[in-house]
Amino acid sequence: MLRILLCVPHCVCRSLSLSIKQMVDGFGGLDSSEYRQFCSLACQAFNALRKSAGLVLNLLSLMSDAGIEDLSNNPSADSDGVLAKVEERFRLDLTDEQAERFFLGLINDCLAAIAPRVMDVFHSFSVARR
Amino acid sequence: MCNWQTIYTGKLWAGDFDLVVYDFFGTTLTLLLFSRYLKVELQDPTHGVRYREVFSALKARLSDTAFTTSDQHDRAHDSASTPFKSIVDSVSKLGTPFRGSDGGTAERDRSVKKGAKQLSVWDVLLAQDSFISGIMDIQLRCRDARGKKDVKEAQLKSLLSKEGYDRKAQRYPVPLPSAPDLLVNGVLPDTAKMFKSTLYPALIEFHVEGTLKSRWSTLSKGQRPENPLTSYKVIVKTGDDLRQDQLIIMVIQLMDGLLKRGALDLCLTPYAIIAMSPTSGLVEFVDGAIPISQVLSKYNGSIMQFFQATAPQKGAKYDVRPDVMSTYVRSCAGYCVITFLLGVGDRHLDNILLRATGHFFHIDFGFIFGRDPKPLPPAFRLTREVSNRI
Repeated sequence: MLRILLCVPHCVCRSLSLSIKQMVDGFGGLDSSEYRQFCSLACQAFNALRKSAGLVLNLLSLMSDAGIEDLSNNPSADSDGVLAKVEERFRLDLTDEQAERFFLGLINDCLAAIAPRVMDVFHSFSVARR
Repeated sequence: MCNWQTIYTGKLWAGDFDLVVYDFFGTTLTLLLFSRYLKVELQDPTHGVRYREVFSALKARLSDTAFTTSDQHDRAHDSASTPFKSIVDSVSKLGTPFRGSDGGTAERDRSVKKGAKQLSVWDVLLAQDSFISGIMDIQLRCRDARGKKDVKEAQLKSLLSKEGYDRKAQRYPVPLPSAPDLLVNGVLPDTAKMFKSTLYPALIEFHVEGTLKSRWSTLSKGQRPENPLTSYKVIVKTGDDLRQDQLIIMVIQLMDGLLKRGALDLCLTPYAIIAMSPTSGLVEFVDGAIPISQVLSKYNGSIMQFFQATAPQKGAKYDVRPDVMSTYVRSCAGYCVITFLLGVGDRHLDNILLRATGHFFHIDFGFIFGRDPKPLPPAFRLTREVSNRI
């Protein structure tokens, strides 16, 4: 049971690859204007990069036989499969507004649902160990 | 990148050579690597002969090309033409077989020869190769030496000064491979350090003899130091493949450019990194960057308190300087998106760094495209951190 609890937050937080809790604390909490600015900048950046997804993916695919460890020898897929997954992350099927909502959803998933729970689990865990 | 493709797939022959060298000088200036890779290709049984031609052509032309630095006073006022620009010019002009017939080139050659000690690009390459390889060799020997970290560090310092890598040796200034616009002529052995990790990477501080003008145009306003650089810190790493990190840094640079074109400056930190061989490389040491884990343990687990201590301003929001806060928000947003898109894994609090200027950035891209080491360790890091705070 503990193992499951520990794994779940990790899988979701991995999608943003950061420990978002401490980061948001640095903004001054969820209600601050900095946090809203952060969300808006992230969405703008996501949309700006989506417009150039072709360039990024093309350059990455040029590197597919250069012997980059995680691109050519990834245990989960071959280089085409890995690049397909990267392409999926760009969510080229969405419009700009949908993509914005998608990214806000990602941030919220990381924050609202998971982070407090992780902290709680660890908190109780470390208290219980005493 | 397409030049590398041509080189790697063996589509290169002497006829393409001018184009490759021209582009190469123009873009990355990492000629040392170029000649190194060529040396490797020479060993190839089927294509080796063809590369031998390319290699000897490269050597002949580079030996003919004079190396000019910004130290020459007669050129100092001429800020528009950086020294490397003049190399590019002369290399491209060397493509014409009879240089003497071109009056402009001959005049240029004469003016270049006025310098007291004039070396060709090839000589500089050899000097750079022996200088950097020597330092890497010392790092490797100290890494494998018996003893604890302090013993290795002491040995590193003594070897660096004993074997003539400090400034006393009076080397000719050579471009540093990871930052070719800096000319270095020695290291500062006293500040050399070794990091406590399995591979014991060494932190080496180079003395910067000269700087090329082009450096300032590539840096954004915040990064531009007020005084001219006198030293530059580099992490020398052997035993690790840095090509993947280099790829990710290049992608971050690309994305940074794309975002800036869209009028979004997200204050990213694409630090300089270069893989010198499949098992070694140089990484820029970003001064004043602290891992988030240390920030949290020093400042009661709050990034806000870190900023309040390092960039205070009374009366501003949260008592933090607004420009620092804005940099922090921007870089967080930028790295948030980029790490998501590239699926960067193994994110724990030790490889996310923060500077007092608000720059937030990720290092160590050993796990990318959704790959991640074991699922549990990062979770436990949090445990320790939480329990420390209680």
